[in-house]
Amino acid sequence: MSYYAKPIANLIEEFAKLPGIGPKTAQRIAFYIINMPKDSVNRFAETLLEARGKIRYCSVCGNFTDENPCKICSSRERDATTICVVENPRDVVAMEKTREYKGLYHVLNGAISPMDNIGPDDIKIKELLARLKDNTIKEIILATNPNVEGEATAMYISKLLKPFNIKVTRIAHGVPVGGDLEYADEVTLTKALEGRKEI
Amino acid sequence: MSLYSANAIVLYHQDLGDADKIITLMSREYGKIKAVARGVKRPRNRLIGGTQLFTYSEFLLFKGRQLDNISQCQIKESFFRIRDDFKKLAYTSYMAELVNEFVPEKQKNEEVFFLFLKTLYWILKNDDIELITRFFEIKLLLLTGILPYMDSCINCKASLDDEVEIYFKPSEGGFVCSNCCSIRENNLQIQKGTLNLLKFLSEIKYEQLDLVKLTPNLIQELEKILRICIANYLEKKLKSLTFLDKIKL
Repeated sequence: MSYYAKPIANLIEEFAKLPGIGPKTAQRIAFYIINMPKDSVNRFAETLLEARGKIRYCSVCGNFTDENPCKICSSRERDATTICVVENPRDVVAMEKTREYKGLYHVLNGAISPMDNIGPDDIKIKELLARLKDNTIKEIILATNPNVEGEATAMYISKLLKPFNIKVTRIAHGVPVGGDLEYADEVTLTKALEGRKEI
Repeated sequence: MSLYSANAIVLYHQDLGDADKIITLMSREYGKIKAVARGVKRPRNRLIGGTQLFTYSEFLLFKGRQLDNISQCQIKESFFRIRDDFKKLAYTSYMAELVNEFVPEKQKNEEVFFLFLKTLYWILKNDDIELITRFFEIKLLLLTGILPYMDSCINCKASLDDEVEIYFKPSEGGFVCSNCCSIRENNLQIQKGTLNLLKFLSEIKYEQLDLVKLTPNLIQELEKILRICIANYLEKKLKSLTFLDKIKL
């Protein structure tokens, strides 16, 4: 027997499907929404539908966008000779926040993972190679995560790019800004030493 | 809250929520353990280094209601050069998945722990990763007790030493002589050398592996036999094996 009226039970069930939301949180959010003014709920529902309806993958870089190609790909102010390869759309946001990078992006939508059987064909590597055919690209920056999957992906792509004669770079690994050397592990320190530069 | 420490190798990790991970460890003291590493996706987290795949660390854990939690870790050997080599990474992932599948949770198994640890050191120093993988499979099957019986025909018990034709019987995971081999069955004819190689590899140590020189034929046959034994035991195909087949290194 359900303790709630059916619409409330359905609402709780839908919220519980979201990542990181358990039954109790779902219940709290559902009751909050029921107590919200009708206008706000309408706006909320419309926003959800609009986001889901309008957002798709950019046909060039694979990032989420509402216009195709996306704003970054179609911008004339950006450096069209550099592509920064990242794992997912959230990484594009992180890179953009630096305000240092002015080139284009390529979103792989995943990373190679032997243990989860995610191979090169399961992520957008072919699309990246297709972008290199017109010879305008001069540098590829591999900005996949510095974990096992990200490194494997970077290694694999760098091997594939050898024949293209393009400069391929990997973002640096090292001690985080504001961090403490004492607490850095030996792998990070080794990588930081390997990637040291003259000042 | 009870704390305990364990020397362990990271076998697998999966995401938990936004910044946490569930880490599967093969420990010397307690066998396979699953534990939560909190905040491990944040750049300044202290557990990042020690919880990377294949890293051998000393962990301090505290018991939780469902899963234990990792409180501290100190790297003993990071094996990060394995992760820097795509082929080695793919094969080592397969071996780690084998350990993960073969060892039940929270049952001490020092033999398998030391086998895997020694294998990782060996991979670091040697490039013939396929031979190491076969050797590891044989030793793991030997420790688990499912390595095929090699001294005689499993049907008539006749010695296989003088046999010219030897067959591997997948349904029973053993070898049969030509008399006992039914044509209707899907038996695999193998070279005498493959059986001898399997026997030899099951008896030697890693240090003697340098002496082994193999023809591609033998290693292929050996791989087929071992794959059948493993698939029969696990009753499924491992994800990392599918990956290896897919990328054909």
